[in-house]
Amino acid sequence: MKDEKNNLDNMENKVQKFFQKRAAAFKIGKDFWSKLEPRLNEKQSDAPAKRKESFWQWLAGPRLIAISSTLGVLVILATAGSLWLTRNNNINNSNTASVIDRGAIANGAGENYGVYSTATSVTLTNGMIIPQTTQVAMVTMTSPPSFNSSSGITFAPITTTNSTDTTGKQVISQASVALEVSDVSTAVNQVETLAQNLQGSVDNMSSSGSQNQQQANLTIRVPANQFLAALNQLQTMGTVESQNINTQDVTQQYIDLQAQLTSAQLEEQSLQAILAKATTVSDEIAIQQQLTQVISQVESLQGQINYMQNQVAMSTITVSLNTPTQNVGQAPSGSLTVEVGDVDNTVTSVKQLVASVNGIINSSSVSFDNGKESASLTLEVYRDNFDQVMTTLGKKGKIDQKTIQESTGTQTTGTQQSNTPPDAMIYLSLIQATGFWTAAHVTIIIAAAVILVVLIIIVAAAGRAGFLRKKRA
Amino acid sequence: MIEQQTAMTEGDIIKRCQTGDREAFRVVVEKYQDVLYGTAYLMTGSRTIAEDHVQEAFLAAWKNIGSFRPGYPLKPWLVRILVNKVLSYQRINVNTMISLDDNLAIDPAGDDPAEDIAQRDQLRRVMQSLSTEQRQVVLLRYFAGLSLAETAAALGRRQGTVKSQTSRALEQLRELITNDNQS
Repeated sequence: MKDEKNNLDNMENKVQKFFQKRAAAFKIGKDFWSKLEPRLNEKQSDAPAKRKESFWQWLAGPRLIAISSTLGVLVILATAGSLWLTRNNNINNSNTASVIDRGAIANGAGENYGVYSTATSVTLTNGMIIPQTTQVAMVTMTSPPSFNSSSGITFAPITTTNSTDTTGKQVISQASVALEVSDVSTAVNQVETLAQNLQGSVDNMSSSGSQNQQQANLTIRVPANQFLAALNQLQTMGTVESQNINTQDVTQQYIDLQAQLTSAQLEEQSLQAILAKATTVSDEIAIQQQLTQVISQVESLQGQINYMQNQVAMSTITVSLNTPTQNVGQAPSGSLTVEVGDVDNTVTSVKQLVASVNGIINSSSVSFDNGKESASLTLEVYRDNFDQVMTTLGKKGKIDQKTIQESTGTQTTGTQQSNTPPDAMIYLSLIQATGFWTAAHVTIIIAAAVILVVLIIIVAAAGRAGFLRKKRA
Repeated sequence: MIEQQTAMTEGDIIKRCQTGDREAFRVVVEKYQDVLYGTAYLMTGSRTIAEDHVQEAFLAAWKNIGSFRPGYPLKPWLVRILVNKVLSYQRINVNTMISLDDNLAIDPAGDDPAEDIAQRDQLRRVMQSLSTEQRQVVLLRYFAGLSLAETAAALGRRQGTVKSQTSRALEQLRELITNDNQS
């Protein structure tokens, strides 16, 4: 192998020498340049400088593709980024929005507030935690509350239930509570005990039962200043199916009765005095008849006043206890927070919707905060309308939050056919939608449109330059 | 050292050519006209055709000197232009035979015309003993002085092909060249 290489190298040297010896024989002639130079004039301009390209020719080709691709990617990233930021801002805004219920504030600090319903646990700005509840819960605020309306919380002011205050008001408080309990007889005992503990009494009690359900109704009387406490304790005995509170200010009637009584009593005293001075039997009989009527009137008035005083002094609570109907199952419930363009109109349409399915609107409140309107509604619909109503409500705007608790068991109550009231709860919060098209969005979209137009112009010009170049070739 | 000075000087000349300096281009022409002419003549076998090819090659070089990067050797580039012209011509005018005509220009300073004729005959026999491809390879490698890579680029062939063709050509030339060197 090495010898072959050496031989090859030797041959190359020999061949090189061979041609070098004969290279001198190849002379083109000294006049070659004189023949060549005129042809330089003919075929070429003076400056054979580098070929000049126009800007568009320079731009055409891979450079154009690279620039277009880069700008296109930037436009897509900018648009996607703005959309993502907006969604986060909307979520953040809805999460941090706080609304003050005007109704609750109106009663001022120190009053009792009724928490009508909350879909989720809510922490108020004054530190108080309202647990999730579908009941009327009594809460005493030391300061007006602020809360996130999207939680579904609704405040309803509770009228003070003291029978008389320093101004001499006479108020009769009554309430009816329906509780679902696991065992009626046990609950009856609990209610009786409650009434006794509060220095009250059980006025009457009735019970009935069937294979599927047991029921009892009690009417208890508790001192008026224990009325709220009694309601609070009743709510702990079972699931509150319904609760109604009625307060009646009978001050004027009371004053009237007192006035009538005083008048009658004065008349009685007067007649007694006249009777004592009667000289004839006929006079005595006549006066006695009048006196009898007046005394009867006094007794009647006194009786009414006593009754009224009793009603004022002792609040009446009608408690209805029942065990769950077998196979009734738990009614479905749901909460929904929807962003809508027009809160007022949406509230109206929701009410119409509920009415169309024979549902009930338990509560409705509208509030304003920082120029944004929001509304909270608590609806009760029949179980077989629940899904339809939830779907319809969700279509009214952009859903921010939605939770559904399905019903359990077969539905023998809460349907339109069962002659029982609707019991599927829907907690609806409506929030005024923020304008999507903020100034930032408009700016980004205009910038993207301008970049696209510029791209189109560049592509068109470069394409034209490329076409012309081909044409010239 | 001398080669470096030449290369640097050639780079300056090229730059001046690119600005349209004809005198600079004349320097280039006079430097390479003979080697191009010899190459073209040995490829075509005709003086006049070879001269035409050389003219066309230099015209093309002048036209495209703007795209030539100074610092690179000029000769391989010029030879490549020339070879393209010749091969294009030969594709149209098939002429693989070499006929060294008697009017081959010889150096007038040659002392012995008889010796010149003998050399010419020798050269003819050598070239005719090779195939067309071998002849082209040998001319560019050992007459024009191009490297293996430059030869392959000029002929549009792979370097391996050029190398094998060169080896076969040298084998064939062994006896002829040996006899020549001995004389």
